[in-house]
Amino acid sequence: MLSSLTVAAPPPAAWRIDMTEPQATAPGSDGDLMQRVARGDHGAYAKLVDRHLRHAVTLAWRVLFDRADAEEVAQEAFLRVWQHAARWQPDGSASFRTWLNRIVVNLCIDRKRRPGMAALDDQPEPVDPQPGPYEARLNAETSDRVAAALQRLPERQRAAILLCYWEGESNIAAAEALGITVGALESLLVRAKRAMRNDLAPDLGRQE
Amino acid sequence: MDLERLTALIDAYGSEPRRWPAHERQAALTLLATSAEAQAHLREAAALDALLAVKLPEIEPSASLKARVLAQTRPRPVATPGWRAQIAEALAQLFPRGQAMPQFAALALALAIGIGAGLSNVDLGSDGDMISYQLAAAANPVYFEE
Repeated sequence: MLSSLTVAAPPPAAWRIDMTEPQATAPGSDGDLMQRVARGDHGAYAKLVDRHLRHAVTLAWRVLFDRADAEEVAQEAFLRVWQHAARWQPDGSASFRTWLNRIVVNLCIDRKRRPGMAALDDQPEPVDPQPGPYEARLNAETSDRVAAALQRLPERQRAAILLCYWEGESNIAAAEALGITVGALESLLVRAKRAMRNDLAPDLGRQE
Repeated sequence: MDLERLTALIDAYGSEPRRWPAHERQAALTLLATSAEAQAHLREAAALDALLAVKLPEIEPSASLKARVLAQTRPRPVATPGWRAQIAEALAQLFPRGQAMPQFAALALALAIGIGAGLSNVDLGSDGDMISYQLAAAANPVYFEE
């Protein structure tokens, strides 16, 4: 459990000028802020937090469907941003957002690997679970039904489809985020979509 | 690319070619154009894709989360880059798209500063006068005997 008393050591000093990709480090861009964070600039870190905290919490919540867990994951993700900023490459293929997505998804998956947690893909499909607070408020809105169908997927399948469909990540970036091969990612996506197609059959019927 | 692979691509990545792996996209589109079976499969996938295009609920972070995220790190003195890096950074800001220009400009500026300092008339003051006197006395001791 992270707490407000946890204070991280400052990141290692790093100084690097990259003039080959000026767009990636334009003043005020994520890349520019990351270069400043790598030098220990706490103001730049605060700006990144302002810009991306909501996204990090939302992505974590969509994978975990637990608000407290999602906030802990987002907090830990930004701690890693601070500590490992120097490792991020502004001229690489990954945007800051993709890098953050990878950290968040990894942390979500790691939470489920903790002792006492069921293995991700070994979890049986829920059999008509009792409606929780979230499901209880589901109404006729399609987005709520889609969210509910997502919630019923095993976490890895859910993370795979979130990254590829809602986050717009490439197959390679999504596979890296999940620590699997592209082939394994495709398998997760096929299973996830098959389950969602069955779950959302009434909505699909209405479309036709 | 064969029909089996194209079907697998559609099953995994959906009906929009922009989501297909880049290295297989063109071959898949070529096959799709001539395969009625693949086109039918694509239409089925498009129906699910339309549902998955909905905007999902977003979560607003709690009021205390941002404070915790900021408090878990502590500010430290910002590492000051060397003077060469500072000049290069300033010039890179002036010429954001330049590749070599800032580096050449930094070199020219450094040269100009060095040449200017070398040509300037440096006043050594009283220490300079004493050094000159001692050098002259050493070279011509006859004229400086007391």
